[in-house]
Amino acid sequence: MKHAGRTSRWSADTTARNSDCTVVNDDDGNAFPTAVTSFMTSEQLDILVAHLRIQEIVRILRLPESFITLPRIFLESSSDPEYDCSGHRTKTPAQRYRQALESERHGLVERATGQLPSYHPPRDYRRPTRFSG
Amino acid sequence: SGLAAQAGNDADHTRILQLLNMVTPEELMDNDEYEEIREDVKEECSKFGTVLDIKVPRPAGGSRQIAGVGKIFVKFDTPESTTKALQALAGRKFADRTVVATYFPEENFDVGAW
Repeated sequence: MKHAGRTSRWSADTTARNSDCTVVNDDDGNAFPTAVTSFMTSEQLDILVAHLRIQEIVRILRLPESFITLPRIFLESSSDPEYDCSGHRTKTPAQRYRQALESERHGLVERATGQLPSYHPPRDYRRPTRFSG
Repeated sequence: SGLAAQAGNDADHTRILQLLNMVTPEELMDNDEYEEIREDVKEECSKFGTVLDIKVPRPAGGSRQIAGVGKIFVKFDTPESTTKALQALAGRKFADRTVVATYFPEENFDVGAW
C-alpha cells in the first residue's frame, strides 16, 4: 500500500503539457522524440534513450535549482554525515546526487562513443581523470 | 515482427506499452523503491485503461548487464488504452527523468524477451 504522504514520481499534470513534451532538443539543435510510434530495434531505442539522458543530465547539472529538491533516493542518508579536515560536510545529499549524475553521464558517453564513432560528447563534459570512492 | 526490414515502418500498435529512461539499476535493487515504482506506474497507467500486468526487469546481484533493466512494460486491456497512455506519458517526468514511450510486441512481453 501507498505510504501516507508519499507523492508519486510522476510529474504533476497532464493538462499543461504542450507539444514540446514529445521532443527533447539538445544544444546542437538535434531533436529526440519521446513518443516513438515508428518501429525501432531495441538497439536503436537504447541509443536514443542514452542520447536523451545525456542531454537531460547536462541540463540538470547546469541548473542550480536542480539541487534544491533532490530525488528521494539521495535524501535519506544511510550513513552518518562525514566531514573533511576543515570541518566542511562532505558527501552531502546534493554532492552525492551530482556525483551520481556525473558518473551516469560518463558511463553513457563511454557507451555512446563505443557504439557510434561519430558521437561527440556534450560540450561541458570532461572525462574524469580520477575517481573518488 | 522484429525484422530489420520493418525499420522505418509504423510500429505495431500492440497492447504493450514500453516505457524507457524510467529507473536506474540502483533504484531497482532496493525492495521498497522497486515496490513504490511499480505502484506509481500502475496508478498512473490505470488512468488510461485497465492494466492487466506490469513487468519491471530487475538487475540480478553480481552480473553487470541484464536485458531490459531501466525499462518498464505495461499490458493494457486494449491497444486503444495503450495508445492513450503512450501519448499522455511520453515526455512526462518520472523522478528526474524524461519518459520515452513506445509499443512492444506481445509475444516478447509474455516470455520476457526484452
